Amino acid sequence: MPHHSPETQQRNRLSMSPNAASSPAPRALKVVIAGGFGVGKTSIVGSLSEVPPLRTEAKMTSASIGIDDTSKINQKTTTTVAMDFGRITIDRSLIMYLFGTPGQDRFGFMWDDLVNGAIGALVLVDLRRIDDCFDAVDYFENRSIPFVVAMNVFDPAVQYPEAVVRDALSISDHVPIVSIDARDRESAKGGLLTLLNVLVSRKQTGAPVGDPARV
Amino acid sequence: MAYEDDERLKARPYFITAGKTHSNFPLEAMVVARQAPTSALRHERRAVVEEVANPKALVEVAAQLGLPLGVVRILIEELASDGWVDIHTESSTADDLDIDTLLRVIDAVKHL
Repeated sequence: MPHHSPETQQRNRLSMSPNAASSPAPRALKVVIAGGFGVGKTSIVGSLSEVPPLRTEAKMTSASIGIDDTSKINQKTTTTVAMDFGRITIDRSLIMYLFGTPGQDRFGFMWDDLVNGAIGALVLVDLRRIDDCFDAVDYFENRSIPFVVAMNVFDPAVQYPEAVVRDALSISDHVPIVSIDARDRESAKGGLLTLLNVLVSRKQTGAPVGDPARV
Repeated sequence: MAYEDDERLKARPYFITAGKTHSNFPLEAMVVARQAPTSALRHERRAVVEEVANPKALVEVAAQLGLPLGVVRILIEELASDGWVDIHTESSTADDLDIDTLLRVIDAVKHL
């Protein structure tokens, strides 16, 4: 990046926006929305985003680990995947992006690109297909990324006590479990706020977020 | 998507990027214009600088312009080295956030 004198920088900033000179460097906060295919990830992104959900296609490179292609295990493959995401502007310099993970297992490799640097994750669960979320739970547990389990209630007749779900998922008590309707903004906000409150309480107790105290 | 009908944007990606095919900064890197575009900037480069008058993540710039992420990444790197935009890659994991920032985020989410 070329060096610019302070005067030049000041002039350029003033030409862009009267407030820019006092603004801190812009930062993005990443929240990952994970879970099985069709569990409502795009719905919750749409419920929370201030703009219609955005989509971009990205080429992701990974070692070929296809189970049907062991002869090429050391080769790199490039796959184009579509990412859906939304945006919440906190202020001019702080913007939260919500990224839905592609639902198919075979795209699991690209999670690292999405999850690196994320502040946390919501793992969506469909109680009719609870095992679909096991991969996501394992993934975030193994990387010590704070997450909340959000049961997307499709059918009010299919509900289980939290303790049953917690047991089925084998998650410890420090991971909150909430019920939401992913299509409803207020309900979706509740899930995101639960995650943010987890981050706050970790800060207040002084525990590193990535090292949750086990009970 | 205002540029969708622009024939010039239908050029092959490697043509837009003058043959460069590799660049690497995270998809959530924040990009912001240093100055308004002038007539020196044409086509996709101009579109990128206009798009980041307010800060946007690389991935959002790509989505809004309907261009491949890899192409936009290279364009932004060039624009940064020519002084048109700044790229901010400061980490913001949960451990990097102070409690005041978290409370600000919570407040903003509550008021969505």
